[in-house]
Amino acid sequence: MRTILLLLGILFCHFSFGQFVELDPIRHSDFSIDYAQLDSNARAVVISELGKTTIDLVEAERSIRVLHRYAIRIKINKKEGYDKANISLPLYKYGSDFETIENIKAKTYNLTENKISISELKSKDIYTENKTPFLRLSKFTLPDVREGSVIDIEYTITSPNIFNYRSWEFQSDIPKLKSTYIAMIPGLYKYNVTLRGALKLEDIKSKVIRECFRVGGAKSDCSELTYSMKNIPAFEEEDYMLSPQNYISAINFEMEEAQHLNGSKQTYTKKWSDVDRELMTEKNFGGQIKKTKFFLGTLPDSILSQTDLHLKAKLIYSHIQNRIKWNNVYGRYSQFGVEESYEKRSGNAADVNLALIAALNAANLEAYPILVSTRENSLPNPLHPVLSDFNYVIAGIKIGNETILADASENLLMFGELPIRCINERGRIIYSRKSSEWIPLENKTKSSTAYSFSGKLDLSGKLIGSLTITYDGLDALHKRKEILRYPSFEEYEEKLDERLTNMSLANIDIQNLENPDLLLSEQFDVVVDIWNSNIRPNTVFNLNPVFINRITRNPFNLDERTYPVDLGSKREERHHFSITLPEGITVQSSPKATNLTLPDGVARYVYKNSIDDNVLVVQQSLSMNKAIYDTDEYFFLKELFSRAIQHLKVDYILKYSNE
Amino acid sequence: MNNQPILTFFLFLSIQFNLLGQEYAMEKIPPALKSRATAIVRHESINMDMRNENNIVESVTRAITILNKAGESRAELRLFYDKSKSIKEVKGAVYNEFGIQTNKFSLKDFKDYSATGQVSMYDDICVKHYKPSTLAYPYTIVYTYEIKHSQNLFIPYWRPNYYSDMAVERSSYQFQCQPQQVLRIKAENIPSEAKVETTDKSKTYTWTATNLSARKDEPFSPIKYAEEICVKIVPENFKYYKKGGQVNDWKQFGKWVYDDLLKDKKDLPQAAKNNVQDIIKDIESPKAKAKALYEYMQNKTRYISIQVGIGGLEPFPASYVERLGYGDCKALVNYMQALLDEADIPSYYCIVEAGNAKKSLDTEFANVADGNHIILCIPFEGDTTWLECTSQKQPFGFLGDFTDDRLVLACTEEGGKVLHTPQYNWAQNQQIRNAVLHIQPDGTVTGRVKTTFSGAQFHNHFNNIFKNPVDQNKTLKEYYDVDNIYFNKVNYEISDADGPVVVEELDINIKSYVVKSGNSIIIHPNIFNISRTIPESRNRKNQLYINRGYTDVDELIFELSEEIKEKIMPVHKVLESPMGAYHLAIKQEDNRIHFYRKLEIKEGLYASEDYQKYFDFMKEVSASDKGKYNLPLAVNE
Repeated sequence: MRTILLLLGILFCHFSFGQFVELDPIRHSDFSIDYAQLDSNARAVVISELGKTTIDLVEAERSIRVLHRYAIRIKINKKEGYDKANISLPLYKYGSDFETIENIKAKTYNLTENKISISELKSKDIYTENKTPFLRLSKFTLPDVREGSVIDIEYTITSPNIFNYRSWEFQSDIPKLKSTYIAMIPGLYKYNVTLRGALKLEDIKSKVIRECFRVGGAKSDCSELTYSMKNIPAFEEEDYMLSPQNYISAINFEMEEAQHLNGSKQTYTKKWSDVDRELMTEKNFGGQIKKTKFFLGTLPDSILSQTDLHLKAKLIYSHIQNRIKWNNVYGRYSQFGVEESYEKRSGNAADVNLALIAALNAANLEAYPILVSTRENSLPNPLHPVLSDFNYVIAGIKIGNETILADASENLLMFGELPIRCINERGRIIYSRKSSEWIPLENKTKSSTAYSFSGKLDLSGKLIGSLTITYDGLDALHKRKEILRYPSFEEYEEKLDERLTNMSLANIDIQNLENPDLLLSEQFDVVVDIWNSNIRPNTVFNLNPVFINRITRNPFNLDERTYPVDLGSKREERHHFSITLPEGITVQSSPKATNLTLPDGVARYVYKNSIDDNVLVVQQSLSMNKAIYDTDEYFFLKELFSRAIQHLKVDYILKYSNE
Repeated sequence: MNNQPILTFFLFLSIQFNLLGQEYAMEKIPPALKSRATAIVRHESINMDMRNENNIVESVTRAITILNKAGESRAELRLFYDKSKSIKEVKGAVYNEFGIQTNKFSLKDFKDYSATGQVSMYDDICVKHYKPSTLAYPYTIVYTYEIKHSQNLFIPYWRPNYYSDMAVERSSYQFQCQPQQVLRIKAENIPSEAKVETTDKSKTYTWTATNLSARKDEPFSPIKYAEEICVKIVPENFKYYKKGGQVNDWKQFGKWVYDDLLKDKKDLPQAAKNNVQDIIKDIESPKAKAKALYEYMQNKTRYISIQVGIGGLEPFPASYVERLGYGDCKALVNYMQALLDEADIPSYYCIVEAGNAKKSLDTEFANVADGNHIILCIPFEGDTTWLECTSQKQPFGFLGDFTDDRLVLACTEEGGKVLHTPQYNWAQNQQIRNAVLHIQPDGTVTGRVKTTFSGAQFHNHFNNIFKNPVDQNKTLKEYYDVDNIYFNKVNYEISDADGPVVVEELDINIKSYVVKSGNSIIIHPNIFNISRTIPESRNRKNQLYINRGYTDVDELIFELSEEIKEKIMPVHKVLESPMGAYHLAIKQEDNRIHFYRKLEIKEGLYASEDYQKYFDFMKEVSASDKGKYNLPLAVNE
């Protein structure tokens, strides 16, 4: 990268930026624009949106910049749409340079008595907020916005990031009648262009513009690519979905190849083999993994001398987990370096996990970095390598035929499991000696919670016994974090007791709180109120043995579903309750056993019950055996939950007679 | 050669730091202080040196032991700065449980970002933030910092027991100024009176607190912790962004705001004045004029908050709002006032502490820090009217639960006046629901549900009115979280009956709501309003405080389509407690089941012992709300 900039920088250059994209002059018809077919209730609607990206040599900077010219006209239909007049534009820092914004123009048009009045934004009403050292926000709001106003916003953002420049999003949270994007790409550069989302392009046009890019004496042609869409519906987010970025219709660009003026070519992210090599030679990636000597010197002998490979890996994982605290910063590259992070006990995700890999390698274990795009990010491009898609790195440990996924940034996480943020379809495992490959990111362990109760029903109307709750997988991670939010077990128990108002808890016993490789369990002595007074002879009363976490609400309550359901992991919730009934109690009626299974066993609800020698046993489980369900399956899940809710409305009816 | 003394000094300093470290060993903490604590302030000294009105140096030294993960956030240090406040110096170190230094830090280790929140579009406040990276507990963080304030209107308070989970071994607060300086001091719950030392050059006040225990957070506690230690200092003469004043009470404060911040701000251009005249020309009564102008303002403006420097206190002028069509609470109130002035309707610019919690300004102690919002008061004879000017939708004359029932300061030409905003009491805060529902043989329930919301419950579903049908439907599923509920028709209206009322009408369909078991159907008649229990609160210390009361009525009629063998046994239950009453009545007439539920919760302050009564009451309410009934079907056997 540096080479081109230098080369071009020293040459005299002239570039014709061409015509700015411009909105049509305002017309009366803009105020009465018909959008009913698209969404008659939209709070605001985009009449027209135009964008044009060009690449230019900016003389003041003596380097190449990407210029994004943007223009939009929005009709504000309701007061709820006023937020579309509040603009906050992020400007990122690349290296030492911030992106800049120029030529901001914003106007509000109002129609009163058939006359169009114009209010313009003044430059003194534009603010720049230094959000972080790496991010500035250019903020402004339009003047005199009312219901029925039409607003125009135009600006140019100049960015040093020519490699992977801003995506064009056709879809937003309000509908658009038209969105057109033009990319002017000098023949010197070649970009990977990818279209995301379900919507179809209305049109793609491509033409060659002669000699549009002139550097010094040399001239280069450009391809002008025009993409457009019409009548674009608003994007609606749903629960249990991956990042909206995967579904919002957008077009992305990443540089693949640049040609120098002398004719030589430089390829960027073209093939995975190139990326692999680039990563392994990168100081903050491959360079960190090589620091095995350092870990040979710091890992305790008790670990290094282990012969059981699995155990050894686990011990190293646990050592790093407890040694380096994750500073909540993601990253595919090391922030401080593994040595400094180890010494200072703090680092970003790459510091932690590259240290883990180096330490494993030091102990003669086979471990490789896996690039991850975190869950709130979009999925990585499956077709060709787009390095900037990845923002996180974890470890893949090969023992025998198994690849164990490990992220040491969470110190309460079980070895071989990933936190939810890493679970985003697939990652890329980077081997040093052979080509990298895709690897599914999923947890083997189900997220599960199991309730087990054993006790007796007392004639005072109470259930008395012992309740054990066992957690596994991500449920265990979340519970561990929750318990540790309390200063002591006593206070956790007190809070729980105060919250579970239909029962009282005592003698809490928590097992394996800080030992994530073992099941987390909590056990209590409980007294549950079933009946609010003594059970008198010859009375009939109800009993629902599922007294804790009974399913009463349906998480899948949509009437229509557009996107797949992604739970992050398989899930299960089980109850096993055993209740000894006092003498004289007879069962008048009881819920029926049931077993509801979705096609292919992808989810199941089971309710089994029995009574034997006055011991009532109820076993219930609701399991979701997949992490991801498609849109059609949504309604099966909805129905399954609904049936479970209905089933649990049925109580035991018991009668007490003391004859 | 010159380096020598500095070097020695540093060497000395670092030895000093290490020696000091030993005092942070865990074993030195008095065991009693560990109870309920996530962190312990080992020692804290806050020193305010007011050299003059434009120069206060705040020096803080603090050592906090973090006992466990739960206390992690107490180790974080956030230093805010803006044009009137600059950070001069920071340094600190971290010690392990044995008091051995493991890390040190200075300003370069802080993250720097803007502190602009969600509410404001722009302000000039930034923050430097430090968070130690330590995995092993306990540890101790020790730091000193110095901040220079170039104003003396906002002086940081001393509140050593502000955080309930943090115990304090020792904390002191020192304020130093010139001997002739007149100060107003408000000290609450202080363990001992300030030590005052006076010399020719200075006067120094020192407050000290030792051995303050951590405490339990209790639900339904009064807004302010009854034993909160707090020292507030306001100099009689103050300077703030080139404005100065002399204030001893709210009257003077209100006068200062009026004269120095508001006076020349109602500069409506002539065209705008003409508009006002145009709007009111055919209206007789002043109140109707005010209403018309309020609606005009609501349609013309929107809320945008921009706060820079003095702009935190001083409104943008009316001409600015007229030109741009937006402003913050100050600017919009000032603009509305300008419109009213033009119609010869006098009004007051009122400072209020807004929020769901009803916080009044402290009548005894005039202080600029009280209040975070501005509302408008129109003193019509016998009909004082209040306007919230930042909402484009609020009905005229209605404040709602954001600013109701509290003391506010009206800033008038004659000076400040303390006023009380309207209260909506439990009897007025109504949610009244009526429905006739048909139970089909397959258990599906269909029918129409009509609910009216008023008083402080006006806003319950208010925002849903303005959403598009898709979002409206989603929100309704949150309000009415019943499995399989479906809304066929949704209609909202706003009417006026002694205050604004939202009327919601829904045609609903709930598939399989009524479940069959054998030859019975199981019906849970209270579909929509199941009260939750409140948490228990053992060994209660705080009084019980109910911020806002309400009255809910649910009256549902179910029509059965199948014959029932035995009628439902009539239920008539009345529960009474000092905090409220509950009335449940269920009866069957022919094939109709009448369900009536009324819950009244009364706002107010109750003795701590009464918490148990409230708990018991709500527990029984909740259990009754969940009542299910088995109805045997008349089947031909």
